[in-house]
Amino acid sequence: MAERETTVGPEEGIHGRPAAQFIKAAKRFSSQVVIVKGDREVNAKSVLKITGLARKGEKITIRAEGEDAEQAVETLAELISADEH
Amino acid sequence: MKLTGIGASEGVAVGPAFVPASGRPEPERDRITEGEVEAELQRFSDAVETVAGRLSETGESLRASGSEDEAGIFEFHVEMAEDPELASAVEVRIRNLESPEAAVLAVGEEYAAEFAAMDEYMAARADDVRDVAGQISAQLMGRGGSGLETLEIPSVVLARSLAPSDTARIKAGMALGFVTVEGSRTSHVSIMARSMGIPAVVGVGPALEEVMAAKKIALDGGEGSVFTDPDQDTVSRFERMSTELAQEGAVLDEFRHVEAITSEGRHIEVAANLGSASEAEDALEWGAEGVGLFRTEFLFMQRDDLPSEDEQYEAYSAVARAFGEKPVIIRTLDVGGDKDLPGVDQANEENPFLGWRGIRMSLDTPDLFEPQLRAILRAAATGNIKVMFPMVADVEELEAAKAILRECRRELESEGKESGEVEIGVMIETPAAAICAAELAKESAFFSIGTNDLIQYTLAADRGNERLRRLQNADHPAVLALIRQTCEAADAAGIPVGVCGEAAGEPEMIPKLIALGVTELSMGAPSIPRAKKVVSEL
Repeated sequence: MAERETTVGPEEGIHGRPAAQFIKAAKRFSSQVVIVKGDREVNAKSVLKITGLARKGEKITIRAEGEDAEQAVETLAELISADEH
Repeated sequence: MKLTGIGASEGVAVGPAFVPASGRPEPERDRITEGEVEAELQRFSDAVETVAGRLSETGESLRASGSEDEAGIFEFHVEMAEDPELASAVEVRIRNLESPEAAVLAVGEEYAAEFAAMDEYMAARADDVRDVAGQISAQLMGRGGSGLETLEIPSVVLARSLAPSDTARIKAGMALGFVTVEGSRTSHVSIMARSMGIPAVVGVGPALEEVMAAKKIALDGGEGSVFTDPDQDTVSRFERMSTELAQEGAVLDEFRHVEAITSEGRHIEVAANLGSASEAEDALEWGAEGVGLFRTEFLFMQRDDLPSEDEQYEAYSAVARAFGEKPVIIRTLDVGGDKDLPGVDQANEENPFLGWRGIRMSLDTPDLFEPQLRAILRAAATGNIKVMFPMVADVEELEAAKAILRECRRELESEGKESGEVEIGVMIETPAAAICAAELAKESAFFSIGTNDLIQYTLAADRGNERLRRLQNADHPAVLALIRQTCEAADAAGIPVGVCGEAAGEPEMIPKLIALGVTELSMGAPSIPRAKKVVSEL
């Protein structure tokens, strides 16, 4: 299992275009990936679950379990912390 | 009754009114039997695949036509349609003998309610998820949710608003026009209408909701007027206008391939603005005598890395070959903080249009600029290519860019690679460039005035801001003064001046531009025949 804490970058939080691009990236990994925010834990490959989960500047944790877990958390944490997508 | 809104897409239409059913489709069955479960699960996943495929096709075609933001919405909708959590929630319900068409609506509604309870922004996403769930449900029932897909009589569509997925579902030829309560010139429906060549009036306001029961509608998308249940006189007038517009189209066709020469014998070159290499053939068919502005941004967008020199060479030389002897002016990359560029560290800017963009970014980023210049020089061996630099504010920038271009040519020579001669021009789009035109002219082979940005920067009026439409005007005395100054400086130096903003294609601006000394007009290709006709009648 790998996990990393990161800060949400896009101006309006996780939604719309950034959310769609995040999902696309997440689906490239075979690992199970979840986003943890506070006591909520959601499937990181579900746009419906991640949409509206966090706002810009809020802390979230990306956790993955599987063969490419390390790579998944690294790529996805970086993606979600970027200002724009 | 006459209503007024925003004229969002030119043209007139008169025809029966059609109001798409709003809200969600009604499921045909609520329950299924035990024996149907497996087959219904399969039907659900097929429906998801069909809907997602259709959404992503629409997204692709919007992207190809340059509507990035709209394409992004479809990308989001595709992900929602294919959402694994949506699928598993629906599966649970189907296994509990709920019909898939009812199940997907119910699950969509659960998410919509969740979103609606968040904030205003997320409330709007509730409509997105309802829309997508509705489409899957409609697909399962083999029919359209709103009736737009099954529209069989050419009609004027009246609605509160129209989503891109709505307009994309209408069969070709069935929409005569769009009239909406909400919207601006830049909303989805307006962009779609213009790209489909269908007249539209948007932002009519609540008054339109009072007349949704109208049987017949006439609209003028140029002036933004809408007549509900028009009398016979109005109907005849609109039918006449519509015929005249069609005839004008036929007359204009005859101007496609003539040279535009004024009565004084001045030849005005009428060229096309291209947003991608694939538009070249089309532009030639409209009668383009060259390319006055070849935007290169399309090569750099929507990817994870910068395009290679070879890839750029292919795109530039394809256009150069298509145009043969005719000139093709390639503008080096003009993006700023408003667009994402792979591999370039762009800071988050408060004012991207006043920021690090165009030649400013190119000069600071050799990894970006040099491959582009090398590709342009190599492509110049295959046709009549010129290069121009965007966002130039002073002579130092032009000299720096020219020095890099010379260096690239030397490199190519020492590598034994073929390159061609290119004339070097400056885009006049900052007021500073217009004011310094005399100095710039000494170092340039031509000028090209980008009126859209010149207006925006001169009048300090954001070109995307609907409230500032009065100021988005090339006919403003301040803008005309800068154009005059540019033309006079060019004339003194003996170099030509083109215009490649929207003003170049506007019939009322063309005579003024020519009087000021402009000798080349470059525009969206469909405007070329009309521009040639206007010039020929001067």
